[in-house]
Amino acid sequence: MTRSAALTLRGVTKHFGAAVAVDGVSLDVAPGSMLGLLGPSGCGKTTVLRAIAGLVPVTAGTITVDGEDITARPPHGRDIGLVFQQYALFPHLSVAANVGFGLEMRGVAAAERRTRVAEALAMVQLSGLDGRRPRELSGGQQQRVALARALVIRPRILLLDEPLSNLDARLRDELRVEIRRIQQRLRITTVFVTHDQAEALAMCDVVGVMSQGRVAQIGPPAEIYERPVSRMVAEFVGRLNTWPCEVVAPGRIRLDGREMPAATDGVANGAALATIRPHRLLLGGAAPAGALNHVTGQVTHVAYVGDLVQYHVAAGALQLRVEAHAARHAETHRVGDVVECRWWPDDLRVFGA
Amino acid sequence: MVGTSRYGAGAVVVALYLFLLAPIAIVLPLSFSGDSYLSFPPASWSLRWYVALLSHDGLTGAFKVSVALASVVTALALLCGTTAAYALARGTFRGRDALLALFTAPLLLPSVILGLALLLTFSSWGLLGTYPGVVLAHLVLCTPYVVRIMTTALATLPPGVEDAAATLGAAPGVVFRRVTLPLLLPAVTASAVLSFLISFDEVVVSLFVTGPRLVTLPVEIFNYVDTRTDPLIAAVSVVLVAGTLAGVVLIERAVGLRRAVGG
Amino acid sequence: MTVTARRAVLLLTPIMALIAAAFVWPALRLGRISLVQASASGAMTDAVTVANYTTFFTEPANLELAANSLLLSLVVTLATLVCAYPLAIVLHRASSRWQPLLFALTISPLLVSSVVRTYGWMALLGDRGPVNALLVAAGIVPEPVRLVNNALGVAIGLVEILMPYMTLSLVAGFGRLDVAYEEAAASLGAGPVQRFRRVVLPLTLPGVALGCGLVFVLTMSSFITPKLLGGGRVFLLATEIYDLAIVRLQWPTAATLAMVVLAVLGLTTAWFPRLTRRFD
Repeated sequence: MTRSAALTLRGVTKHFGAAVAVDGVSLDVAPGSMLGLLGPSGCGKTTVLRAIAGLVPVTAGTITVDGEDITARPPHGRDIGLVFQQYALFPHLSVAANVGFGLEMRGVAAAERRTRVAEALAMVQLSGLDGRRPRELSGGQQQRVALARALVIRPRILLLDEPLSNLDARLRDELRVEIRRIQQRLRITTVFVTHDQAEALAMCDVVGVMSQGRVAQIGPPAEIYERPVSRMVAEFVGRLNTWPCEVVAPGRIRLDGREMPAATDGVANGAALATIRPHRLLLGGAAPAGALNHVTGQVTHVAYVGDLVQYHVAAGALQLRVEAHAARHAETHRVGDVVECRWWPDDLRVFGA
Repeated sequence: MVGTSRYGAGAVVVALYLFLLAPIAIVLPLSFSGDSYLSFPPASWSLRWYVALLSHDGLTGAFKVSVALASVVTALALLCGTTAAYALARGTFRGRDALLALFTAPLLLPSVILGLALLLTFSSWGLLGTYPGVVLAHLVLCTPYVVRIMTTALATLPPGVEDAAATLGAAPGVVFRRVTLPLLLPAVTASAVLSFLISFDEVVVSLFVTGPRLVTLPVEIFNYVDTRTDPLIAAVSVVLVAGTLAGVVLIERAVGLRRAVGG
Repeated sequence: MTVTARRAVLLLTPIMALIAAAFVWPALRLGRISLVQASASGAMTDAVTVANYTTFFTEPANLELAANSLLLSLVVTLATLVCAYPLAIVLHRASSRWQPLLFALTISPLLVSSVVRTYGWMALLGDRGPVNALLVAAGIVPEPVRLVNNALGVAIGLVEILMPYMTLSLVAGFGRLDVAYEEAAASLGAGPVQRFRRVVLPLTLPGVALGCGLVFVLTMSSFITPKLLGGGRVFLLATEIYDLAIVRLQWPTAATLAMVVLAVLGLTTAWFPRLTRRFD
C-alpha cells in the first residue's frame, strides 16, 4: 500500500532570532522503520519534526527523501503525513471529509475517495463514524481520525507529534500497540516525537535522544537504555542512582573509599560519576556471589507499588535506590533491616563529572 | 511558509491602518493652518484657529455644557448601573438574565431611532432642551455599559472573599464597603471613564433632545460643520483627541482597554 | 453573599425607572405615533390609522430612499469586510508582544467622535485635500475629482468609521481559527489558495456573519456621516428621519420610517445568525 522511503537529515539547523532551536541534526531513517525522537520539552524535537513536514523553514542543512532534496519544498508539496499533538481535525468538516481532504487536494475522484476513506477508517476501527463532527468524538477516536487522515494519502513519510500525550493511560497503551501494528503492516517510514521514554523504547526501531537542539545519542532502544553515552541520556531514559566516585585506572573506580571494578569506557582518571539503574541492584543473598560488587547497608524506606518494591538503602556515605520485583514468594525487607546489596560491575557505568 | 508574499501582506496591513487612522491624523497639521478654508497641505501656518476657538462663545459654552453634563451623567450612571449589577450578580431571584437583557437593550436600538423616540416622548413631558431631558437621554446610553462591566467584575471577584469577611464578623454593609468595593475599584474607574467619554462624544441622540438653549459640544460641532468648513473644527478636534487620550491612559492604567470595551 | 428579594427591589428601582422612562415608554410611544393621522399642519389626533404605512409603501420617493439605504448598507458592509478581514487575521495571529499595540491601533478610532472623523474625511477628500493632490500628482486624474458631497464620499467615510466594529466582530468570531488547521491542510497537500478557501474561510464565517450584521445595522441607522459627507445630496432613510423630525416636524411620518428601519434591521439580525449556523 505504501512505498517505503528513506529519510535523511544532514546538518539541519533552525534559529529563532538569536535562539538556536535545532543545532546541526543529522539522522538516517531506514525505509519502513520507525524512529523515536525523545527528549525533554524545548530540546528541539518538535522543531525537527516540523522542519521535516516543511512547516518550519530550516536555517541550514538538507532534508532528503529517497535521495531527493525536499528542503525548499512547501509543506503541501512534500507528500508527508503529519499527526498533530492536538490532532488539528477541521472542526467544520465531518470525519469522512477530514479524512478525504488530502485525497481531494490530490484530485482523487469522488468514487475512489469514498473507497479509500472507508478503508482508512476501517484500518483505525472507526467504520460507521463517517458523518460525525470531530467534536462529537472522544479523544481516542479523534486521534484515530487524525491517523487515518495522515495515512490515507499514502505519504512517503509519516510524522507523529506526541500523538498520545492527550490521552489517558489505558487508551495510550492501547493506541501504542495499534499505531505500531499499522506502521509495521504498511511498512511506512515513521518519525515519532515523544517525551515519554517508555513510549519511545517500546514502539520504535531506533531511538534518538535530543538535548539542547542536538542529537545526544541514537541507536536501538536496548543500546540507548543499557549503554547510554552520557549521564543526561542515562537519566532521561530511566531511573538512576548517581554517586560521586574517582576513576583510579581504566575499569577501576574508588567509590565511598573502596576500590572496585566498573565500566569506565574511556573516562579519564580523576573525579567522575558512577551510575546504576535501581533494578540492577540486587538485595539479599538471592543473587550469585563471586564476581559481584557489594555493599552492606540499612533499609531506610520501603514503598510497595504493586509489581515492584522500592527501597532506599543507606550504605556508608551512599544512598541507594533499589527496585525489586514483587514476586509472590520473594522476601520483603522492612525499614531497619540490614541488607547486602550486589551488582554486576559492568552495570555500574561511569561518566565524566 | 515565508516568502515575498509576506512583505506584500505586510504592506496591505500598513496601508489599512493608515486608512483607519488618516482622518484623525490629518486634523493635527490642519489645526495649525493659516488658511480660511480646508486645504492640505495648508498654504500657510498659524495658531489663528486656536485663538479663534477660545473666542468662539458657541463652542466654549457648549464645551462647558458637555463637561457638566458628562459629569452628572457619569455619577448617575454609576449609581443606577452598580446597584443593578449588584442585585443581578448577588440576587437569587428568577429572571435575572432577562433583566440584564432588558437593561442592555437600549444599546441594540439604533441611536437615530432612540433619539426620535425620546424626542416624541420628551416633547409631551416638556423635557426637550432641558438638562433633565438630556441627562436622561445620555443616562440610558451609558448605564448599560456600566451594568455590563460591573456584572462581569462582580462575577470574576475571587470566590469566597465576601463570605470570608462575613465569617470574620463583618456586617453586609461593611463587607461591601471594605471588601467588595475596593476589589471593584478598577471596574468602577473603567465604567466612570467610559460613561464620561460616551456622554461627552454623544451626538445623534443629543441632536434630537437638545434645543437652542442647551447645546452640547458635539452638536455645536455638527451644526458648525454642516454649514461651514474651515480649520476651526480641526483645532477643536485636536483638543478633544488630546483629552480622550488622557482618558484612555486612565482606563488602561485601571483595567486594560480590551476588557473595558469588550465587556 | 446573596441579596434578599426586598433589597433587590430597592437596588433595581433606579435602573427600572430609567429604563421605563427613557427606553420602554419612548419605544412604545414611537410605535403609537407611527399610527397617528398626520395632518399637514403637524397637529396630531388620537385616531389610530395605518395610513402612514400605506403612504410610505405607495410613495415612489420613499421606496427610492429605502433602496438607497439598502444599497449603501450592502456596499459599505462588503467594502468594510474586505478592508477589515486582513486586519482581523493579523490581530488574531499577532504575537503577544504586538497584539496589544495592534489592538490599541484598531480601536483607537472608536474613541474619537464620529463627527471629528467625518470632518477629517471632509478635509482628506475635499477638492483641495491630500487625496486629490496625490491623484493629480500621480497623473491618475487630470484635475481634482469630486469625492465629497456624493455617495462615494459617504461610503468611504462610513467604511473607515465602521472598520473597528467589523474588525472586533471578526476577531471575536475567529475563536476556532488555529494555525494548526492550516498546517494540517498544508501537510495534506493544500496550497495557499485551497487552505484559505477550504479551511480559513469556513472557520471564520461566524465572525464574518457577526461583523456584517453589525455593520449593516450601523450603516442603515447612520446619519452623521451621510449628512456631513453627503453635503445634503445623499438621501437615506436615517437622514430623512432626522429631517422629518427636526426640520419638517412631521413626527408621525418620521415614526413610520423609524418603524420600517427597525423592521428591516430585525429581519437582518434574524437572518445573519442562520447564515452562521449553516456552517457550524
